[in-house]
Amino acid sequence: MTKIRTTPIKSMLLIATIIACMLFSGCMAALGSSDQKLVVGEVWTMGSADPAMHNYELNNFLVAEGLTSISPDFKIVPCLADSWETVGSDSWRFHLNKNVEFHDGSKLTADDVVSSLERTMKMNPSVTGQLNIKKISKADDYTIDITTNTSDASLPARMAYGRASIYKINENSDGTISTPICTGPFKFVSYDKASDTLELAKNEKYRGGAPKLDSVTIRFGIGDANARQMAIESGEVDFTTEPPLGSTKSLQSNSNLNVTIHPLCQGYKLKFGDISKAPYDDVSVRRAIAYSVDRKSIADDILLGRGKASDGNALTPGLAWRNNDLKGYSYDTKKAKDLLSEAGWKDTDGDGILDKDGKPFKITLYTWPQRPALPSIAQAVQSQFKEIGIDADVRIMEWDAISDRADEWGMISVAGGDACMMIPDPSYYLEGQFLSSNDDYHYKNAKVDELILKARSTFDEDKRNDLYKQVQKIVYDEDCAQIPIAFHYLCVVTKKDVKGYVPNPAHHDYCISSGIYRE
Amino acid sequence: MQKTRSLNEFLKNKASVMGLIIILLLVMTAALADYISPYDTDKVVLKEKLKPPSWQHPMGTDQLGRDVLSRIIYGTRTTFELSMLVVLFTSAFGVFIGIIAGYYRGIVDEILMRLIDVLLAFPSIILALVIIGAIGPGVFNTVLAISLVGWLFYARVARASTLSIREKEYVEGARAMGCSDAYICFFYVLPNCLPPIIVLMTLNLGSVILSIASLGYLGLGAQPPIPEWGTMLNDGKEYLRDCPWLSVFPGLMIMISVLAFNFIGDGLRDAIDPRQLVIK
Repeated sequence: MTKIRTTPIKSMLLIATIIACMLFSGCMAALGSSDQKLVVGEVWTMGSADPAMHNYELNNFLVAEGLTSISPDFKIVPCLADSWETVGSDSWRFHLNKNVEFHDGSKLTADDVVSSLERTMKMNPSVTGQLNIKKISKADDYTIDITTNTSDASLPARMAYGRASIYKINENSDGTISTPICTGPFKFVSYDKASDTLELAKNEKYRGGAPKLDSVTIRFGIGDANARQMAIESGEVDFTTEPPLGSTKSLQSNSNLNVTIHPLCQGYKLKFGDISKAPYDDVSVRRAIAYSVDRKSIADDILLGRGKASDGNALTPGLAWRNNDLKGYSYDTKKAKDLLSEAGWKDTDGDGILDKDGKPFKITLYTWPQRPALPSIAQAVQSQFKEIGIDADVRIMEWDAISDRADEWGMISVAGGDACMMIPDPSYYLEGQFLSSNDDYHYKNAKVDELILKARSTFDEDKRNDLYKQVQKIVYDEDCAQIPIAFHYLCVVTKKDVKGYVPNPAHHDYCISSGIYRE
Repeated sequence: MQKTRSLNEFLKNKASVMGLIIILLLVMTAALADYISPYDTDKVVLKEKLKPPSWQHPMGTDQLGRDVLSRIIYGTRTTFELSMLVVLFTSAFGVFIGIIAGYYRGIVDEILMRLIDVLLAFPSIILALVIIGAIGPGVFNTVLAISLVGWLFYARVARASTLSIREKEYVEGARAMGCSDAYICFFYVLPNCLPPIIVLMTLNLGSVILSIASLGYLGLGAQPPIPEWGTMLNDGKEYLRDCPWLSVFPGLMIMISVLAFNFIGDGLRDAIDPRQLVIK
C-alpha cells in the first residue's frame, strides 16, 4: 500500500481551494435568492410521478389541469373544457378549449381526455368510485360524452377533482409514467423518489399567460411540524404550511417571514364509531354529548387562531349549499346531564360516572397524531365529558388502526382534516357520511337517503342545494349523527419576499397560485 | 464481615451515594404524590394554557392548562411503577430460564441459549415497537412489550453463574442428600447467583426508564392524560420553540433518574464484585 504524503504546500493549496469553493457557492446562493424560484416544504409524501396515482399533487402544484376547476369562491369554472351540458338524464357533453397545448407542444384533443381518464380509472380504483363514470367517449376531436352510472348532477364538479386531471399518455415499457406531460402553468422537470422532491419549471406558453416564477421545487415529506418551522426559519424552504400550533407568535415576530391564516374546507369533529349500537343508538345520548362540548374554548385555546368554533354544521361557511339556519348545540352541561338522565343514564353508585343497567358510561376517544391539534382536542373533550359523568379514555394511534376499532362499545373518533370539498360538490361529503349504503358509521335514515338520491339527479342548482340543506338539517340538528367542533384554518408561512399567493380554500390542503413571485 | 466490607466499599463511592439519595427522593415523591402535588394532574383549564414557570406554577402549565409540576410528580409515580414492574418481570423470568439452562445443560441449554441469541439479534426497542404495534399502545402493553425483550440478559447472567455454582461441593452435597432439582435450584443456586443479578437490575432500571420514555415519546406508551415523562415530552414537542418548559422538565427528570440508577449500579458492581471477594 502506498502512503499518501501531504506536503505543507499541498495542504495549503487544498485549504485555499476549499475556501474558494465556499466563497463561490456563497455568492451563488446570494445570486439565487433574487431569482424567481420557490422552494416549497410539503407535509405529505408523494412517492411517484405517475399521474394516475398522483394527479392530485400535480394538480395542486399547477402542473395538471382537469376539464373544469374550482374557483376560490366555490364555483365550478371552465378549465380544459369551455362549456358542458347534459344530454339526456345520465349523460354529459363537454366541449374542449381548442387552444390548449400540452407541455410538449402538442394540441389537447378529445382522445387525450378519454385515454387519460380511462387510464386513471383503470389504475386507481378509488378514483373510479369517486368519479361515478360508466362510459367515456369521443364525439369529435374537441367534444367528449360522459355517461354516468346513475343520473348525476355533480359530474362537472367531479371533473374539477385533482385526480381527474388530464395528461398525455407517454408510458414507459412497464406501463408507468415517470415524466408526466400536462397542460398547467408549470411543467414537470424531474421527480426524485429518494429525496421525494419534485422540480417544476415555468410553462412559457401557458394559454393564460406564463407564471412569474421560473421554477418551483417541492420537497415532500417534511411531516414533522418542528422540522418545517426550522426549514423556513433557516431559509431552506421559501413556502411551507402548518408550523407547530404554538409557534404562530414567534413566526409572526420574525421579520424575514410572512405568516397568514386562511379558512379551509376541513374541520374537526366527533364521529360515533357505530351509531346503530348502544349507547349511541339513542339520539338523546348523542345530543347530550353535543351539548357537553365547549367548542369556543377548543377553538380559541387549542387551535390558537388556526380555526373557528363550529355553529353546528360541518360544511364550510360560504358554500352555496350550506344550511346556515341550523340551530346547533350550545355548550350546556346542564342540558346534557338532563338528557342523559332522561335516557336512563344515572350515577347510581356515586362514583361520578353515569351508569345504566349496571353498565358504566366508559367510552374511548380515538385520534391520530398527524394533525397536531387532535391529541389536545381529544384530551379537552375527555375532560368535558367528565363534567357530565362520561368516563372517556384517549387512544392515539394510526388512522388505519382506528377504523378497525369502530365497532368497540362507546367508540368515538376525534377527526381532523376531514374535507368536505375534496370533490367540490355537496354530494361528496353528505353521501360519503350519511347515505346508508356507505355505512362506515351505520347511520341509517330513510328520509336522508331519499333526499340525497333525489338531489343527485336534480339538475336545477337551487332545488338541488335546497335538498342538501334539508339533509343537513336532519343529520346535524335532528339526528345529531356527528358532532362538528371547529373549522380548520390553514397557516401558511412564507419568506417576506414571496408575494402574490392567493389561497384557494376549495383545495385540500392548499394549492400554489400562478401569481406567486419573488420581490 | 463480607457484608460490611461491601457496604463500606459502596459508601466510599460518592457518585453512587448521590445516586442513592436521588432515587430515595424520587421514590418518596412517587409515594407521596397525592400529598405534595399542588394541582389535579388531569384538570383541564384551557384559559391557563401555556403559562411560563411562575410562583403559582413552578414548572409552568401545558397546552391544556394543566400544572406541569403536578404532572411531573405523578409522572415519577407512573415511571417508577412501570419500570419496577418491568424489572421484576424480566429478572424473575430471565433468572428462571437462565438457571434451568445452566443447571440442566445439554440440549435444554442449547435450545434456550440459541433462542436467546436469535432474540438478541434484534435491537430491543425495535422489537418492543413491533410488539406494541401488534397489541396496541397502553400502559400494560408497554410493560409487556419491554418485558418480552428485556429478560434475555438476565437469563445469560443467571446461566453463567449457575454453570459454576452447580459444580460447587455444597451442591454436590445437597444432591448426595437426595434433594430434588427444584430444591437445589431454589435454595442453593438462586441465592448464590443473586449478586450479579442485583447489579444488573439496578443498571437495567435506568435503561428501562429510558425505554418507557421512548415508547411514550413515540406515542406508543402511556396514553394521555396519564402523566408520563415520555408522553409529556411528546406533547411538548409541538411547542418546543416557544414553550420549552413543557419538554425541558420531563427531559431533565428522565436524565436525572437514569443517571442516578447508573451511578448506583456502578457502585454496587464495584462493591460486590466477586473477584474482590476472592482476593481477601
